[in-house]
Amino acid sequence: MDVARRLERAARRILEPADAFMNRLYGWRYNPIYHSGALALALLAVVLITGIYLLFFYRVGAPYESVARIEGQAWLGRWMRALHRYASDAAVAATALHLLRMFAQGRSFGPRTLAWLSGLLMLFVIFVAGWTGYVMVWDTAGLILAREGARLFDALPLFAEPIGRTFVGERALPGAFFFLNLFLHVALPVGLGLLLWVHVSRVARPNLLPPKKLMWGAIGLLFACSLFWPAPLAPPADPLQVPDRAPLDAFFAFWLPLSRALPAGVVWALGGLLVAAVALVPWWTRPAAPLKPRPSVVNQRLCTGCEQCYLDCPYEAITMEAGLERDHPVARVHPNLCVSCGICAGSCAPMGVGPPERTGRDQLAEVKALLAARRPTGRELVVIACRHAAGGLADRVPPLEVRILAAECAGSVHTSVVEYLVRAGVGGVLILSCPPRDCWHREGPKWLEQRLFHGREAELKERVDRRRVHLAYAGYAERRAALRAVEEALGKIAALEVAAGETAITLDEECEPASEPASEGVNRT
Amino acid sequence: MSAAARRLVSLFAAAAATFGVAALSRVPYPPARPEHAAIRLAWRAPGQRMEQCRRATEEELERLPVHMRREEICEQHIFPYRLELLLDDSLVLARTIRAAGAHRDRPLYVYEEIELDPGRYKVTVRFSREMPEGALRGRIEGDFPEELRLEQEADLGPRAVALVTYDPETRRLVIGGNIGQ
Repeated sequence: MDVARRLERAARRILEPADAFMNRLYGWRYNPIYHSGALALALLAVVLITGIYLLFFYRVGAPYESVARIEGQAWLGRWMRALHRYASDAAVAATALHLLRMFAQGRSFGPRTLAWLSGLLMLFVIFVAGWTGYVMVWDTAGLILAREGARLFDALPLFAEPIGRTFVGERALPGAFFFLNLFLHVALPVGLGLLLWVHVSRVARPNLLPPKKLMWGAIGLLFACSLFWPAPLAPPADPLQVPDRAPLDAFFAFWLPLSRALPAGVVWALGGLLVAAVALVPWWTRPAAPLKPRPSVVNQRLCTGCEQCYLDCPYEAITMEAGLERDHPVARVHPNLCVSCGICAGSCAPMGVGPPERTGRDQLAEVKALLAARRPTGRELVVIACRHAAGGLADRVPPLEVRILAAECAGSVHTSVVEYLVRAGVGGVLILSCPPRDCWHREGPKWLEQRLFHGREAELKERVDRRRVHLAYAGYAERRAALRAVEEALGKIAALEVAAGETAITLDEECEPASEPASEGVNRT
Repeated sequence: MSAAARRLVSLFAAAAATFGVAALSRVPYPPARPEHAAIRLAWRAPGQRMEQCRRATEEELERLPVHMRREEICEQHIFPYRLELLLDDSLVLARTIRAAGAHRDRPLYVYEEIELDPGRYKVTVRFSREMPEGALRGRIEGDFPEELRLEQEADLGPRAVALVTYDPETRRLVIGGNIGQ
């Protein structure tokens, strides 16, 4: 196993138990780790709003005094400033968590490269904006950060005069310095908006805000903390005094102890290596060519132009275009945007689209072979388990009388597979999906649930006995929850009569077009 | 775990996470250690510039485009300076300060900071021109002194910084900052 896979696995070993723990506490709907990206955005919005308020009182001519005056407003200014600070800290933590999550789940290469790089750039902008924010206050902590920044930049051949001289204490700092700081502190977050647009440009229906309960809960707690434990304000910066112990923000200045202990050149070299390693994640973690996920293909002969795959694709990788020899538009997959999730396979009623060997027809063939090898007893349970979740059942078969079918994504499971299993006489089918907000492919469980129980196109037909179809959610580390779901499904099957199997089930033939051109055009861009 | 207990634990966990964010937002730095003082040497010096010119040879002129042909080729050089700091006659810093810039034709910038225990010191700073091997010989330009020297007593309390700078008006090194006389 190569280094990239090892690192991803190591990251998953941290993340999956944390996910499971949070699911137990908050349930998958409000698991803050699942919503880390959206939570970061909500917190940045808080930073923006509180920042606008603080801007009215900040003076570049008297930076420390103006912040001290804000601190003096016991009922508004003080907690606004504290909330501004704590929300920016929490936003950094949430962004870092989001980054770790995407890395651990291998969601950083191929079509996701743009999102990875723009996200990294956003984190960098947040850091620089935070840095300028601390210097703006011009307390002891601001002085330490400013001088260290100057030391590092002076090691680069960028400035005609060393900028470190600004802070030696020979003369008072000019207002222009604080104006520049303020300008950067305001202008950089404006750039964040543009980066966010790039960040989500390749996903359909981006989740920009977490669920309201989670969002207001997080903001409420930070608000309470701001009220009862306001942010500290260190003594004013005095370049002619060795800085006393200053309260530094670990989220923005965690690098400081290491940086100050090393020569500037070494800091740049180490920092450069780290940034390069993270920025190049999409290239060094992508699987080798034979293992690379293959993009979906469209069988034009089967495409009815219903647009469902186009609507369901979470990455906007499918467009509807004029097809050869067809009087309606047909789906076209753009391989450079397709992550091979297979959700389109589950969305296509005639089973005409999907990644090679994972289309609805391929799934149906696999199920037929499974049942042909061992005839269903009428009491047994077939579990279709998501490879990336479902308590790891796809990897470690449980000590229970069940048959396991692994799926890349529960959302790629075609309802015909479920119908075939039930009509062929299995006691029941349990689809064990990842929790909806944990889907590696974003929207798999959401579409699956709608297809199974709410009549979304490519729906499970009414003729299928719903008492034998079960859907449950469990993360990879939630093995107990997965086994509990299996036992519950087995219990329900036991309470039913023995399933009677049909012999002539021709689901794939039902979907064949009545009269179509003989050629089977495969549409791949 | 009952629903009520779970709710309690979830609230506690959320509060602990928020508390953690606030606590990490105020980590004391630098870590606790005995208070010390510092002496900072910081100035900008134009230095002594030497320009040496000679007539270009025919071959050199032919190699240049017509509009760039000048009969005189001049090389400029700013001399490096030797910086020494002595505290109570003990050498604590010795460094050669070279002119900034890729062509070494920018001013000399001095920026050094030495941490020391609080106390009374005899501070001696010497800043003297160096004449390296192979240096250009010719007319020296600029009125920057060949040597600067400062000798002064300084009483440095805890966390005090003594700042040594160059005063271009008096063309002398001066000491200021938090020093008792």
